[in-house]
Amino acid sequence: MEKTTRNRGIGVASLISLYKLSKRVYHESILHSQLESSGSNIAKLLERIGRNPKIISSQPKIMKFLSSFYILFLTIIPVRSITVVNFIISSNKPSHTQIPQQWITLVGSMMSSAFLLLEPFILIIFSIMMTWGLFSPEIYAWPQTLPLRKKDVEKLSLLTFIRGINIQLLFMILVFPLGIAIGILIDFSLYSPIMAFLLILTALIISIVSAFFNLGVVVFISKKMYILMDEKEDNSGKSSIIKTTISLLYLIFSMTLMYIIQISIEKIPDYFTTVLLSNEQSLLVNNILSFIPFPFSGGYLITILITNHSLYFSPITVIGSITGLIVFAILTYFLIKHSVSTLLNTPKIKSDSMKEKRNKKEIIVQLQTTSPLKAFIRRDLTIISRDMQLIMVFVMPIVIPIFAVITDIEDNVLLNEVGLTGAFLSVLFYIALTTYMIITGVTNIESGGETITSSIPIRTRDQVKSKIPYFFTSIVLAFLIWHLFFINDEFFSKMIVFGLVYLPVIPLAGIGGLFFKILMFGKLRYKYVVEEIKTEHRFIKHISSFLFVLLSLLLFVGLSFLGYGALGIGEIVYLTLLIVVFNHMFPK
Amino acid sequence: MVAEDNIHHSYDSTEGEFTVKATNLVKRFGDVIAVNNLTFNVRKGEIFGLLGPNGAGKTTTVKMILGLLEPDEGEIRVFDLHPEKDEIEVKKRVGYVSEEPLIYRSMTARQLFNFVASLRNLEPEEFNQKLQSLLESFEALPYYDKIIATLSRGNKQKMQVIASLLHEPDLLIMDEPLTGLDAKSAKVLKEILEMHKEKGGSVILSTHILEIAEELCDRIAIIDHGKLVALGTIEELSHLANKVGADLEDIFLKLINQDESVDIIVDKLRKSLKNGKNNKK
Ligand SMILES: Nc1ncnc2c1ncn2[C@@H]1O[C@H](COP(=O)(O)OP(=O)(O)OP(=O)(O)O)[C@@H](O)[C@H]1O
Ligand SMILES: [Mg+2]
Repeated sequence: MEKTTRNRGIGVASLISLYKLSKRVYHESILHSQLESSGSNIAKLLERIGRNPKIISSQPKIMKFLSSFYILFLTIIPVRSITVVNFIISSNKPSHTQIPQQWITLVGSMMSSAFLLLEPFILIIFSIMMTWGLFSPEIYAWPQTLPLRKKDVEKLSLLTFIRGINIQLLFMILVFPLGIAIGILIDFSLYSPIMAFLLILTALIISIVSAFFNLGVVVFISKKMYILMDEKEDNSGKSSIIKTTISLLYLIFSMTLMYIIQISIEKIPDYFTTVLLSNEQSLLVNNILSFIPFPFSGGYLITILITNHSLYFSPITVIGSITGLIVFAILTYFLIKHSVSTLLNTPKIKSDSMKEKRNKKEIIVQLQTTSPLKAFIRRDLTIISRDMQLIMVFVMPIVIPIFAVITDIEDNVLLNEVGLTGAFLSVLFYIALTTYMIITGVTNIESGGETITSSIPIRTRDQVKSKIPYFFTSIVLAFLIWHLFFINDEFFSKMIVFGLVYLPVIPLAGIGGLFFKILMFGKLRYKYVVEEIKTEHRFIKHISSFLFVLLSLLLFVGLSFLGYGALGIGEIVYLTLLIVVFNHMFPK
Repeated sequence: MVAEDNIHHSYDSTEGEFTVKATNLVKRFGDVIAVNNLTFNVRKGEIFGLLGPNGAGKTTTVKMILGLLEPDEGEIRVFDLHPEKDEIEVKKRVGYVSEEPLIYRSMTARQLFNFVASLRNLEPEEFNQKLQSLLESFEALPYYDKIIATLSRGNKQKMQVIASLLHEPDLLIMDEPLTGLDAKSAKVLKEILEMHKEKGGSVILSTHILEIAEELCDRIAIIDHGKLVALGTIEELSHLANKVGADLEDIFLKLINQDESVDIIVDKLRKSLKNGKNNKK
């Protein structure tokens, strides 16, 4: 008895204090996921956090800012859906070719629906990486040690999730009505105050429902993502491949989507003016689509209000959009109910699933040995495949030029701005930068296992040899992809020939940079090591290693002015030098 | 004074073979003198303790023996080899457990041992059995296919210890090897060290825990502020401290001239705790 009254008494207050507490849990989870993804850099990350604890929260803040910004950017769509519809209606004088009325409805609805459809995608792109970690029961381990009731810990997991996307949700609710309001202001003569109020109110209602819907979708996907990503318990090679693939797919998916979103914001209205359906066709399409709860019903309802009685609507469309919206609200209700229970359950999961995973199949101890060189390569590949940052070091060099080329291929902004030479120099700068990142990446692997490597009789020669293949991978490919940039240029064929002759320089400069970095950081009295031993003047050493790569690249550009022959000879000389240096620094 | 005498007697004695000979070692880090003119020898078939408070220079000494740090002055010979120049030869015969288990986080234990065995050129047929029994005796077999990052501190330590024992080294260098180990595994490790010694191997055991040194070590070098304070068997050390029959803790504190200062610290601590309680009330 006493308990229940007390529960009711604290209600709201405890919810607020729980929400305050959720900040801690949220930070805990971010730290958790940052540590997970930091792989071999964990010591460095901890050191950085030690110096400045604020960096824990800066990453999610940036993500929140970005997604809010993009959602805000979407405001353009509802604004345009009002102005475009009104423009077509007003220019649709009988004297001109009559545009079918139903078709106008279709255009307006498509635009609003596109807005409703894009919202969850933006939320997913920018939030999933921050939210899937919230399903780890581990982060609720310490709140469970606080004097909190079980129920409160469960509520805490719900509130933590909401905290994770609070700003995005707020923007999501406000942006649609805001866009409509701006549209009304632009065409203010067309709407009576009551009509304007009704429009904004409807937009707000649709927006609230879809915000909750989006929340549910994000919870659902985050949970799925967590299950996929959290296979730590039985770590076969398979699971790490799955994880890597997921992360890569996610990256490609989100970048493609950002591109599509940009294109669609620019192109949707143009697209619709080129396709004209007959009135009957449009009517049929409208009637069918208006019944589809997400994303169309909301789009239709708002469009019906936008046209403000100046068009004929089939009653089926009106009924369809209203029923569709009600169904959408009901669906959302169940989705949210499901999400809430998923979230509330998070802190409980741990104990049973852990036990299950224990006593499984018998473990067979079987050493498998290879040559030292292969052992190094194998170790590096294992570590790279489990370290998101390292994967990125190899993937980013390709991803960025691909997207730059796709987005720029029509307009060639870059080429027009800086000219052929400028563009090529920027490419070289990019190559130097990514090469340098690969150098740091592959040498950093060593510092993650100091204890082991420092006690094993290691021949640095093998160790360094094992790093060399990485300079023939993505940077070489990236260099080639950049050439597509010049595909519309009259010099393209010449560029390609030059590029192919210049190609060997890319790995050579990388290998040179690797040796240079080891020279700077790894000098012991009797030998060089890959690890960073001499760490004083770090910054200068890093900068000069980068400059070494860049200058090597530029040197060969200079040589190319003397002709391809000179370039070729230069490459052979550089290669010979590298071999000599290699034998000298890392004797047999 | 007495201490100095004894030190000379100890390392000058030529009985037995020496595995490690360290003479007048000095290592500075900037202004800090981490190791200051340290001289000691480790015999074949003994467990040699490096005992000292935090920051005494134990880890630094151990790293110099392994060739991971260059001494600024002095000389080290391990099996009559130069630990830096003949690094490979030395490391083939040494097993090392470092203070921090910095072992590749994102590898599984299986991958780790494959890596180590490949670099050490161990024949799988010959060492499978050994690895299996080591894993079993430390109860680490269930973690063989787990990613190291997900292991607890103690289990990481076990993997490190096993990696250092696998190739049957002549010299074991262990820097606080018992950190994080549960009672049972600690016992197992102690047994292993004893067996290693009986087979004629040597052990350098760095620790700040007196009981461990007392229990395991044949001879102990007490280090403080990088300097050798005393060296000898427990009996010799207790004799030095003029406290025959006293336990090592008293000897230790006496030798590093801290027995009084500890009393003072404890006293202060008591007072401040009392005050703290009063303040709260
Ligand atoms: N890389 C380094 N740079 C600067 N100072 C160092 C470095 N390594 C050790 N020191 C200093 O050298 C001294 C001895 O350190 P060392 O780690 O050898 O002590 P220790 O006896 O192993 O202590 P503990 O019991 O805490 O492990 C300390 O004062 C320490 O601060
Ligand atoms: Mg130490």
